[in-house]
Amino acid sequence: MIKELEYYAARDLKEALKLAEQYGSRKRFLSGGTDVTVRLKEGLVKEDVIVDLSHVAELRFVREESGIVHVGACATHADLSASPILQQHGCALALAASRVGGPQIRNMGTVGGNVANASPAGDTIPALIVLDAVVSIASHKGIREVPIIDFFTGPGRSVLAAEELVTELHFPATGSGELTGFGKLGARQAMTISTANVAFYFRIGDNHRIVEARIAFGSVAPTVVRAHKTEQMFCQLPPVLSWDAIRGAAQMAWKEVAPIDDLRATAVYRKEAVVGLLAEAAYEALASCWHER
Amino acid sequence: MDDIHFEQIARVDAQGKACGTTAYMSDLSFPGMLYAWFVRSKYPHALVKSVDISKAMALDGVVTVLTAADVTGFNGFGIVNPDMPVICGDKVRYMGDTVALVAATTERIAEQAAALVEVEYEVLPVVDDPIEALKPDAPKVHDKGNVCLHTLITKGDVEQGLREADVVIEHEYRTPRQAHTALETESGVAVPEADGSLSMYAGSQYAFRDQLQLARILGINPRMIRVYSNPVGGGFGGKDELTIQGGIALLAMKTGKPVKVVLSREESLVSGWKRHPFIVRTRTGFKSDGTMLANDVTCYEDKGAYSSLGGPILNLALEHASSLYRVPNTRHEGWAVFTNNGICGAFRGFGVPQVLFALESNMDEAAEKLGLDPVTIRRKNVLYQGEVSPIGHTLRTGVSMDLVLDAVEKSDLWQHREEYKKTDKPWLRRGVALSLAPQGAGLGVGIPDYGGAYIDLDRDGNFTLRIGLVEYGQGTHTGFTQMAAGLLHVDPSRVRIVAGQTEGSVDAGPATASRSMYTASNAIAAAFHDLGVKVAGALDAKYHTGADAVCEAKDGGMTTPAGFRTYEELAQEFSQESPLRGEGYFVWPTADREIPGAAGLPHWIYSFAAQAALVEVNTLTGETHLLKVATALDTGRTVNLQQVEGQIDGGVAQGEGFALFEDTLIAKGQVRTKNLSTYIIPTVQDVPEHEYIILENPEGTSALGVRGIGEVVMVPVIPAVALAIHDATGVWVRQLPATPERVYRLLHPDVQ
Ligand SMILES: Cc1cc2nc3c(=O)[nH]c(=O)nc-3n(C[C@H](O)[C@H](O)[C@H](O)COP(=O)(O)OP(=O)(O)OC[C@H]3O[C@@H](n4cnc5c(N)ncnc54)[C@H](O)[C@@H]3O)c2cc1C
Repeated sequence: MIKELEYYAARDLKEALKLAEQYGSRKRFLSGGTDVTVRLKEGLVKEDVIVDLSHVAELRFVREESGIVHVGACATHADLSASPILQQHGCALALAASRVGGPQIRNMGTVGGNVANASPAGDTIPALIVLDAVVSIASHKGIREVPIIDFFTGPGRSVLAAEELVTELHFPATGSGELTGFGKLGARQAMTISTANVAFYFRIGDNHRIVEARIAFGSVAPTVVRAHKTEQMFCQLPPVLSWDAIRGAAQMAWKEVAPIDDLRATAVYRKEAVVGLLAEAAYEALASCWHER
Repeated sequence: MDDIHFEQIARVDAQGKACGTTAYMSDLSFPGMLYAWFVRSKYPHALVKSVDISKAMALDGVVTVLTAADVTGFNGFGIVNPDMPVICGDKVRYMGDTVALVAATTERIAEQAAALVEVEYEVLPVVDDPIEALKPDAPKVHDKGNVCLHTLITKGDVEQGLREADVVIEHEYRTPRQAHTALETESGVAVPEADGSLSMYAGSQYAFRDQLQLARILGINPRMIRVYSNPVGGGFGGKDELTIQGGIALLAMKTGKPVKVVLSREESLVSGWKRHPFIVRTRTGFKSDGTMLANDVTCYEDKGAYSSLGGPILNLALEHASSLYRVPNTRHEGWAVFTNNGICGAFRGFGVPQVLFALESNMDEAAEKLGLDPVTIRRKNVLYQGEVSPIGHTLRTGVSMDLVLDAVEKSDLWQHREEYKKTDKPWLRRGVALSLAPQGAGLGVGIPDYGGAYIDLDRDGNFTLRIGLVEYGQGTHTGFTQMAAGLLHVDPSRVRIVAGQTEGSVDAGPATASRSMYTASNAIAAAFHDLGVKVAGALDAKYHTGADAVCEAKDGGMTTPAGFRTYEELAQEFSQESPLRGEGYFVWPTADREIPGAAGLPHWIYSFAAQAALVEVNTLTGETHLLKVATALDTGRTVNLQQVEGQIDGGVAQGEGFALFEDTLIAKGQVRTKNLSTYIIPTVQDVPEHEYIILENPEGTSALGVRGIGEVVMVPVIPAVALAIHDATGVWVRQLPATPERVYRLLHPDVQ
């Protein structure tokens, strides 16, 4: 049963911040509502005031300025999937957004909601991590910036204070010589929460080798995690397209995740599957610049 | 009836459904309507010590709260055995059991009041495994014990057959607790009328049986109950048995107000009917040339808490446990076993998917061991009309096993399977496999299987077809319209249908068992014939044209002894006070004797399909995608090709769900997959490409040659998917659904 709530639709950011200050921990933001309404129905929302951000037009954008890509918190997954800017300068994020739910969920759900919701299974999160995104957080007191890797403190928990909201995410635009990608394992092709997901960023050096790698896994630990050891393994790879070598590098992921058993899968299986997920996505991406010998 | 041509017309209900104007029973509202809430059990197995409704009654807006003592008639329902209480008085047997019923002015108040009903329970141990439940010291779900039905059918000497076999394939198979997930959940409105009667508006598959069951619950004359059950927002068997009707009927009679309920998806998944999970133990013996010698099958059917159709489903499964293959020695044994695992009942396929998954898998394994190909081994064993079935009856009606097998072998998918199997990704493997199935249609021997229809010539010269069989999405009403229009020689737009209601339509049996189109073909043909007799009679009365004169339909009218008359002319002359009515009745042909010890067996008329499936398995994650399915189906005669293809599309999706995704997980009696984010059904992104091969071998006992096809189209695809996974990867899948993790573990047996 959905309880009775006070509801405010903020017209702009200023008003949203004011409402946030006024209602503090009594309020819950609602952006696309695709997480909040489910929680409401399950009786899991303790707050009794809803502040709706979906009309705050100034938070809905994707733009690139002087080598930095800015994504507004209220940009929807549909916006992200279709964004030419992201396709060029942050492909992993566009790919991740395109795998969220189905068309209806992508039309409503926002990247800000996905991040603020802080689910270890949130699909855009690993992509944002490998893109080295920074979260811009605003309150009536001002703005602060938090690297996304430091944003999450546990499942469903983040550094956001009651009066704060996410305004945007920004990251350095990727360019030539940089490969990013995303892979997702779910119970079916669409409308499925990730059993495990992965995003990666590879910078290819002049010698064709990977000179910098960032890899993040979702749904295999209390928060999305970076896989530093696995990254090192990818940097060791000779620049030759070899399935066995790429799979061997991915194998290290096994050591960097700490999944649990749940309804969707067992921990043991998740550990095995993320290796394959990474190997598969990385192989597909590297095939664009490496060749078999 | 060769002069009748069926055109590809649009569905008669297309516009209303596409535009959203069709009113389902759950869309209806009535003045002064109350809302019901079912107070469900807190435990899967417990004694009910006391029920205190005082706090709930005291809540503002609550009109009544009923407990078992308030059931005015017999407190139970069930198509075969009425062992499921409408309101449990002394014992609950699953999480969906009802312990009290609330009616209130709003849904919200009803829900709040439900939380205030205080029930004292004495918790009992949970029975959650059908094999454990058979042990003598197992806790009892029902006083009479945990065996709902035991059936044993034997032919020849199975042990001798197995001894003579060159290869014996022995395995245990397990199948899922599939949920129907009809778009419209269990719902409806019960409306008490001024004269003390009751109108029940609830989507269901058989209004006339609902009427009788409700009469028993209320303890009133069935004539005082009218049931309106058409159209239905999806059934698949889940609305064959009563669902919410008994509860809202009691509330309506008690309060004197209309009472409505629409179950949430969560409540539906916990309380609603499901497909029975089966454990199937098999030993199948073959000669080295692939000839089947013996099949020994033992089925354990997880019945859940109440009987419903669990017995007939077990028996249909046993009838099909050796398919229609030539097996001289068989032993088919089955146990339907009560547990606290929800409730199971009718579901498209009715036991056949479960057993054919096992048999068809053994078939391919034998073929592999013997170096035969899957088509050859099947072709060697398929039965023909006139031969004796594996359970000992002679097949007197058409058998198309060989024909659908030949057709699927010729499909593009099978012919070019090596090309389809190519993939350039090192981690992907593709496989193609095929399978075939008969599906007994109709209710079987010993169960009156009857159909009636009226064709009314209305005042304006158009027609009303009155028939009980509901439309729950299959497209049957379009088919009925076309069959009636074809016989009458009029455009289908001149026939309207009144169906699924006890008043104004005619009992034609349940819309189940692949029987609607076949039943209707004969009932409508009989009604059409009778209309001709009525026209002749009317003419004779007026013009003395002779009582035995024959009237034949032609070009929008009839040739009569008084010359050609258009239907408008006939209506003008004879239908002004009341319509001229053709009445048709038809009884299904059945076997002359029952298989000893197996109520309902054998069936007399079968449907046939063969399907080939192409799957792609990701060996890194175990994910399996069904990419393409070729279906060869014998329709007998196609009335509307689009509807046939629609049945194939839907059947394949439901079969795919069974094979790859769907299972209601229950742990210690608690449902863990309570909504559609955890109970996984295929999305449009998951369903395959289709290749359709439609055969038309008229079924001789249908006036128009048609066969039922609704169930069989989902059956062969299930083993075909499992066997395609084998073709792709070499592993045999013995338990469905083949989820990514299950497939992964088969591929990597070392993983703990
Ligand atoms: C059927 C279905 C399928 C789904 N599939 C997926 C999937 O495949 N992958 C996936 O990752 N997710 C999935 N989700 C979850 C959900 O759609 C996503 O997490 C989505 O991005 C949430 O965004 P939203 O705008 O709808 O968030 P909301 O529901 O509006 O909010 C989510 C949380 O974030 C807070 N919040 C929202 N915006 C802000 C802000 N700007 N600042 C601070 N706090 C904020 C809210 O208070 C709330 O706590 C699915 C959900 C459903 C219902």
